[in-house]
Amino acid sequence: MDRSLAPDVSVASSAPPPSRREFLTRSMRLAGGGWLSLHLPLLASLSACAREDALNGEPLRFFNADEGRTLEALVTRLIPSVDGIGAREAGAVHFIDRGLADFFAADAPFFRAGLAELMEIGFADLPEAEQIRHLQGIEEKPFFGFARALTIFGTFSDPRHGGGRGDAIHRIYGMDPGPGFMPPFGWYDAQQIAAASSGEVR
Amino acid sequence: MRSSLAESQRTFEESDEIDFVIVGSGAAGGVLAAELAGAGFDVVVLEQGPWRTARDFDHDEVGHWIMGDLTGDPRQDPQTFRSDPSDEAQIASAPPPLIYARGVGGSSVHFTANYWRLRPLDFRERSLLGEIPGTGFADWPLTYEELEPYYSKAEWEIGVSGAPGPFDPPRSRPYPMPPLPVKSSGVLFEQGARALGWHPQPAPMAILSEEYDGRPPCMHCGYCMGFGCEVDAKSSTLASMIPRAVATGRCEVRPDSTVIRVEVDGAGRATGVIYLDADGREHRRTARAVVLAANGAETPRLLLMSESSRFPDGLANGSGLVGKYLMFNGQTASHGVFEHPLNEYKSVQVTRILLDFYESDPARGFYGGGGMDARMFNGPLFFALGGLPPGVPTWGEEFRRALPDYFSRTMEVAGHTTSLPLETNRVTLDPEITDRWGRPAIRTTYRDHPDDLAMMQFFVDRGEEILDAAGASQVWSDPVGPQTIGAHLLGTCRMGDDPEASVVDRHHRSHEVRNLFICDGSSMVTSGRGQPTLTIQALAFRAAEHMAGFASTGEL
Ligand SMILES: Cc1cc2nc3c(=O)[nH]c(=O)nc-3n(C[C@H](O)[C@H](O)[C@H](O)COP(=O)(O)OP(=O)(O)OC[C@H]3O[C@@H](n4cnc5c(N)ncnc54)[C@H](O)[C@@H]3O)c2cc1C
Ligand code: SF4
Repeated sequence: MDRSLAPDVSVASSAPPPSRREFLTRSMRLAGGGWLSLHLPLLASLSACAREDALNGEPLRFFNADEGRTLEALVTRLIPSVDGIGAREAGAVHFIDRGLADFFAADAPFFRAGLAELMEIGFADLPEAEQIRHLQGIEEKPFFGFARALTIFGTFSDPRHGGGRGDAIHRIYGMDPGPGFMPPFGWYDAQQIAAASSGEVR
Repeated sequence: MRSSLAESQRTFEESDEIDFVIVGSGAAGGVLAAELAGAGFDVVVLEQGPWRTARDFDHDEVGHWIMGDLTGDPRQDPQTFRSDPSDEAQIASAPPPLIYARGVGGSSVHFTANYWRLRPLDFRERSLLGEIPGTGFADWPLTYEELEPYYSKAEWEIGVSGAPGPFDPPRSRPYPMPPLPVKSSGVLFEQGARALGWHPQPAPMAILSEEYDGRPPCMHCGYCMGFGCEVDAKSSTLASMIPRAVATGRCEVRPDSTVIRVEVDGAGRATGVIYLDADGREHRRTARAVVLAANGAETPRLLLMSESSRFPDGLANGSGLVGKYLMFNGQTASHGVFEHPLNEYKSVQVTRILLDFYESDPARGFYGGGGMDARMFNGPLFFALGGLPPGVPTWGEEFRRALPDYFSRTMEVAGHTTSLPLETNRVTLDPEITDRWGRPAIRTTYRDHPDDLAMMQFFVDRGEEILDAAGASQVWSDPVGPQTIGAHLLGTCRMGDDPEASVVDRHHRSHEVRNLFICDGSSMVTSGRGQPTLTIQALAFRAAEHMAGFASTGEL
């Protein structure tokens, strides 16, 4: 098979696990599943025409309304809302919807197939506890790892990609608002500054 | 996305005669351009990426790390990777196996800005330690003493913050600026390392701690590694050298210009290059001399693509070493959780380093050495992907609640090691996969030498000791294994006196094509201890002086 074609998931997931390196691969590997080893396509431009289907009134590009609802339930379980902010409020669904129509187009059939399995069991309408139990059962599957990575991308991306809404990054992490900061930055350097100014020599 | 410098710069017609065409405007290319134009030569720099300005940069982790905002869209510019020459290389997804930024300033735009000198021993380790069988371990054709003036020059011209440390090699000038303010990770690292009897020191960083050269100091935004600086406080060549090159009135920087071939005449002399503009139209840029500064990945690709009947194995490749001896430096990461907030998401990546284990020590039983640093793990996106301690749920409500709790209280100790030069670790042209311009994709073959892996494990152990000694409540490390991604792209056109055993001579001049110069990460003979860019730039300052000398005495 031409290596430039869309990923064959069974091949991808049996490929040797990517090994670690500086700060990225590690995280990507932990991101789960065979996502890292899924190949990106060379030619992937699915026409991004807006569809009739909508989620919360916002049109979807890739998913139909039923898929959108299932995806919303999925991202809500992966990063639930606490203090009013989680994956759903950040617009992760819209990030994934746009992404699969564009940057992640090569992975779209794979993702859609995984979503279809959730729709078959009526995932969106299950009680929360059952949704969680079901996800625990598929945690090791590549689809789950990919869905988790996409949900995280969608929650912590820049809003220009459709996600990261409602200042999600700062609110979820409780970060001080930027763009810049001045020392002291944290408790330990503050202690050191205080000790220095009170004449103590460390 | 158009720099105002671009509007005001001198431009050359294709028919104008020029002295130097430089391929690549990165760490080395930016220095070469400013120095050669400053010495009175007419220079054109061709850069495959765009000319961004500080205003074009943002903090989007998805865009930068996944979609290749600076490193190139992996769908259009694919790379392939394999660990062993017998494997079929696979197309790698984001981030690519060889990470570098495309655009004016090159990878100096998104680098972390750790800015270390080599030491005298780095240049003659082969003589000091003897042969290491199965490797291309060699001495450099120059000494620390020869390069020292250019280290100082680079530190002052580029703009570096730092303070002397206990193991520093001799220096002719002090640091131009004091160190950046210490972060909590630096304070804890210092406490832990001192308790163990070691000698932490402020990190030398190519980031301004004070106003310098008309640029403002760092505003501690916290999105530094992998990002461009929004205030020009990071001393990339985009901020430091390129404006100086353009101000001479003798240098044109052409962005969106991808060089696809170096041309040679019947006498075997380089006549210029062929490049594609943003629309894929072909152009020819002739020059008295051609300078390649396209980095350790792209320089060998270009030479291999420039094969001809006269140079069937690629241009300047009589030694057969073009693309070989690729070295990444080993990278390790140990993590610790502390009681109080560190808020590592603020400010630069690194504020303290440790060089107690720099030299190779026979007592360890393997070759290698390196340095360590205290740093933030990474930004919010990566923290969610993989920053939590083992045992904490990776999805669901507990995960959601753990994010803010741990994010503020964790730090990383990183290790940076030597990599031995191996012939099998190399860049070649992929036989099938091509990029948006039809260029063969860069195919990387890489597997760390066992000694490099042993050295990485050594630093994982030391990193955990430091975090424990600093009082971390939980400590864990990334497992050591063969690396599949490199950000330091070194050694693929090594320097040397022997034309059989090197690609360029001590003046960065190709042994075979005497008006072809190669000066970038590919020139390095050994890997150093993990932060190559100051050395790459010092070499560029030195090389420019030699090139200018040859040009003025008619020796091109
Ligand atoms: C995330 C990250 C963090 C890093 N942190 C550090 C650090 O803390 N300390 C350190 O010392 N190093 C660090 N590095 C490495 C550092 O960036 C490189 O060592 C350095 O930039 C290499 O310089 P160079 O001149 O060889 O190549 P580059 O800076 O990569 O420049 C090469 C330029 O040539 C252009 N080019 C390539 N091919 C062509 C062509 N055919 N036509 C036209 N133009 C072309 C490229 O687009 C690029 O702009 C880091 C790298 C990364 C990716
Ligand atoms: S941390 Fe400082 S140098 Fe780095 S990008 Fe932010 S402002 Fe620029």
